[in-house]
Amino acid sequence: MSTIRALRADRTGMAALCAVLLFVVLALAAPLITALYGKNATEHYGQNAPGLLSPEGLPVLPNGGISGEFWFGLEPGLGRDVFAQLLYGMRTSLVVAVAATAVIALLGTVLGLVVGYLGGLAERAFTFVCNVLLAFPTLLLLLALSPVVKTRFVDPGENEPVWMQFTVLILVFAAFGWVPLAMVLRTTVKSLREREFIEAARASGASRWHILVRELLPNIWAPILVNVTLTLPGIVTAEAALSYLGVGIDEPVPDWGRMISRGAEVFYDDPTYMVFPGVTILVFVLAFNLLGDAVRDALDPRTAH
Amino acid sequence: MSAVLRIRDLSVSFTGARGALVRAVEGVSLEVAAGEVLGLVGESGSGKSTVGLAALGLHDPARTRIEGSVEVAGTEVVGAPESRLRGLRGSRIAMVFQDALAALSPFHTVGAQLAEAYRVHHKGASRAEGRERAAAMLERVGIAAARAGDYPHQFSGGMRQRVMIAAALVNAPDVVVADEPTTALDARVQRQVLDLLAELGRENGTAVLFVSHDMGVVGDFTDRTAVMRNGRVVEEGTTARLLTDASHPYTRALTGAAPTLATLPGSRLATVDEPAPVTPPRPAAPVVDGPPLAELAGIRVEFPGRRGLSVRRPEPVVAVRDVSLRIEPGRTLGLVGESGSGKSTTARVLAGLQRPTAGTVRFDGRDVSDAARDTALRRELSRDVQLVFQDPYASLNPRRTVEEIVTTPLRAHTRMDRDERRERAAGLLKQVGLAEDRLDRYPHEFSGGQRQRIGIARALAVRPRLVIADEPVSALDVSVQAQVLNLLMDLRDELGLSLLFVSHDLAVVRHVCDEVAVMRGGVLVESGERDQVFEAPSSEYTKELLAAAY
Repeated sequence: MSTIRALRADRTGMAALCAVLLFVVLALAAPLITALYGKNATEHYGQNAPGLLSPEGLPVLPNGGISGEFWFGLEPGLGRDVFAQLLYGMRTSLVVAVAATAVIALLGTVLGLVVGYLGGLAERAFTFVCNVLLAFPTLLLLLALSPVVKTRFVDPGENEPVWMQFTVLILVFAAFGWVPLAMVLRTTVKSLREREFIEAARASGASRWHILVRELLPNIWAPILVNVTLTLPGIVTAEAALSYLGVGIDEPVPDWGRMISRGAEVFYDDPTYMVFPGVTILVFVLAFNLLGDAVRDALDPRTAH
Repeated sequence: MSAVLRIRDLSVSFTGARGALVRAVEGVSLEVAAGEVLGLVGESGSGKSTVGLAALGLHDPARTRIEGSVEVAGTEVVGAPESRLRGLRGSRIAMVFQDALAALSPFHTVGAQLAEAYRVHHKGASRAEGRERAAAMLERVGIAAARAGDYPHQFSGGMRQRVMIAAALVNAPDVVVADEPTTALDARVQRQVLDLLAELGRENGTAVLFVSHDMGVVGDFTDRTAVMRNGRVVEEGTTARLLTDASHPYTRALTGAAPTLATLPGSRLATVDEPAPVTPPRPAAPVVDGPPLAELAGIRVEFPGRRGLSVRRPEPVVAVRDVSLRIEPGRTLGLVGESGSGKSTTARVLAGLQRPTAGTVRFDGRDVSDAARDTALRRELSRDVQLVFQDPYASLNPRRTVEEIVTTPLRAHTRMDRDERRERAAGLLKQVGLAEDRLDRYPHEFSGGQRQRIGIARALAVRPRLVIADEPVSALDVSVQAQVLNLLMDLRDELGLSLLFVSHDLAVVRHVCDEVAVMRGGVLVESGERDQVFEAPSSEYTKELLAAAY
C-alpha cells in the first residue's frame, strides 16, 4: 500500500503512468478511433484520389500534406494516412513488446528463483548458459535468421504469414531477454536464502514449494516489476530498429520502424513524415522509462516513506 | 568540579513523512564533569542515542531541528558552523559506536586509521609522529603495536571495540560519548572493555557519557545515571541510589527487569507495566524417570575449511566435538556459551537443520540424525520440534502477514482449512499477548518484543513437544526481554513444554532453566542441575563466566 502511495506522490511518475495508459487506450481503441476518423491504415488514399500526391509521389499540400482531412498528412509514395498508420503501428509495437516481456518475466522469474535457491550444479550450468547468451550478437542473429526462417518455412513466391513474423520476433526477444532478469533474481534469492526467515520456514516444516512460492517470491516482486517496466520500452525500440533494417514486420502491417525507414528515404523532400513516428516513439519510450524509474523509487524503502 | 559537557533544555525534532515533526528529545538537561561517568539509560526509542549524537552536532541540519544548548568544554555546539564542529569532533569530544566493524574503515589498517585521527587535529604532525602515537595508543588499550598493520576484520569483536576506544582517545578529548559500546559483546569481553574505558577516563580526566539500555551494565560502571523515557529524563541521581531506591516506577522496572545471579529463579520479572510483580516461587521441574525426550550422543560437526592457495584439501573446521546432551520431558535445558562456542550449531543439529558429522540424535527414542538431508524425516521431526530465533527482525518474512507467518507450520503439518487456520492463529496471538485484530498486519508494524511474540506464536502453532529457543531475548531491550521471558515461562508451564534454551547470558539461563550445560570452543565443559552448576561450578571456565556476569 505504501508503494502505491509513494508512486502517487511522485508527480513525474504519475504523468508517465498517465501517458502510458493513454498509449494503451489509443492502441486498444484504434479501430474505433479510425472508424470515427473515417480513414483506415491500409488504403492508398493518395493514389486513389487525384490531386493529393504530385507525380513524384510527394504530398501536394505543405507539411507533408497535413489538412483537415488527413490530420498528420499522407505517406509519400503509397499515399496512406499517417495518423491511422501511427495508431495501428502502436498496436504492432505493443503486441510484440508486451508478449515478449511477459515471456521474459515468466522465464526470468522461474529460472532466477529456482537456480538461486538450489545453487550448486544448477547454478553453474545456469551461469554458463547466461554467459553464452550474453555473448550472442542478437542483432546479427536476427538479420541472419530472418531469411532462413523465410526459406525454410515459407513456400517460394508466398509471403511470410503475419503470425509467423510476430512469433519469430517475440521468441527471439524472449530467448535473449530473460538473462538479465534471471541473473538479478538469482543474486537476490541467493542472499534471501541465507536470511533467517527462510531457515525459520524450513524449521517449521515448510516444503520447498512453499519456500519458493510463499516465502521467496513475495520478496522479489520489486526487482521483477522494475525489470519489466524497463524491458518493455527496450523491446519497443528494438522492434522498431529491426523493422527499420527490414527484418521486423513486413508490409502491409503498419509499423513505426518501417515508417521511420521510409521517412529517411524522403527526408529532404518531405521531412514531416519522419517527425510523427520519431516523436511518437520518443514519447512512448520516455514515458515507460520514467514510469520504470518511478516504480523503482516507490519500491525502494529508503526513498519511500 | 566544572562540567565539560553541559546540555541545557535540549529538544530534537526530526522531519518525518510528509513534513510532520517528530519530537525525539524534549527539554533534556545534563551535566558531566571532567573525569565523571554519566550513564544515560532507556529503552530503544527513548531518545538516548539522539542526545549522544546531538552532543557531537552529528544530526543532519536539513532534517532535524535542535533547540536548547549543548556546550562542550565551553564551546556551543547547537547552531555552530560545520567548520567549528569539525575542530571540536575527535579533538574535544569523541564517540565510540556500538558496531565497531561498521564504524571502522574496512580498507585501511587500524594503525593508519588511528594515525589519521591524530593528524587531522595535529596539522604539524608528521606521518612518523602519527604512526608513533597510533602504536602507543594501541599498546595502551592492550593491543600489541605490531598489529597496527592489520585490518579491522582480522580482530575479534572485543579487540575492535578496543581499537574504537583508542581512536576516540587518541587526541585526549574532554568528553567521550559511548553509545552502547559493548552491547554486541560477550559478558567477559564486555567487562574487560568497560574496565579499560573507565580506567582511561580516570587517567586522562575524560568525561564519559555512557548510553545504554542495560541498567545492570550502567550500574557497574557509572557514577551518576539519568533515565530517559519518551524523550524526557524521568529521573537522575547517583547510580547507587537509583539501583536501590529509585523514586520513579519506570526506573525500578528497568532495574528489576534484568535477572541477576541473585534473582529468585523462575520468578516473574518486573516490566514497565508491572514494576513490582507478585511471584510465587517456582521450583525446578521434577526429574521424571524414564527415557529422555531428546538426546544428542557424541555429536561432532565439521565445516569445510576455507580453501587457501595450497592445492591440498583444506583442514575442516570443527565447530562441535563430542557433545552429548539429554532433554527430559517437561524440563528446560539451558545451553550457555560465548559466541563461537558451538551452542547454536548444537541446537541446529537437534532441530534437524544441521547434519552432524558424527554422533546420533534421538528424538522420542527414534534416530533422527539424518533429518538435515532427508526432507521427509525433517518434516516429521518439525511436527514435534519447533524453533524460536534470535533476531525477531530477520526471522519473520517482511512480505508476509502475521497470519501467514503464524500459520506456516499449520499448512505443513495439518489439514486445517483457511478458516480453521485463521481461528487458530487468532488464538495463538491471544496466547502470546497480542491483539487478535492484528492478524493482517506485516512484521514491520510491530516492535521488537511484539515480533518475538509472533515468533513464539509460530513455534507453538502445531503444539510441539520440544521448543528450541536460540538466544530468544538477546536482541531485545532489557525491559522487553523481561516481558518475553515471563511469557516463555508462562507458556512452558501452561503447555508442559520441554525447552532447549540457548543463551550467552548466565543470569537469564539461571532464571529460566532447570538444567544447565556450558560450552566452550565446541566442547561441553560442564553440565548438571541448575543449582549445582551455579553454586558449585566444577570447571574453571564456568567460574570465570560467573565472575564476569552481573
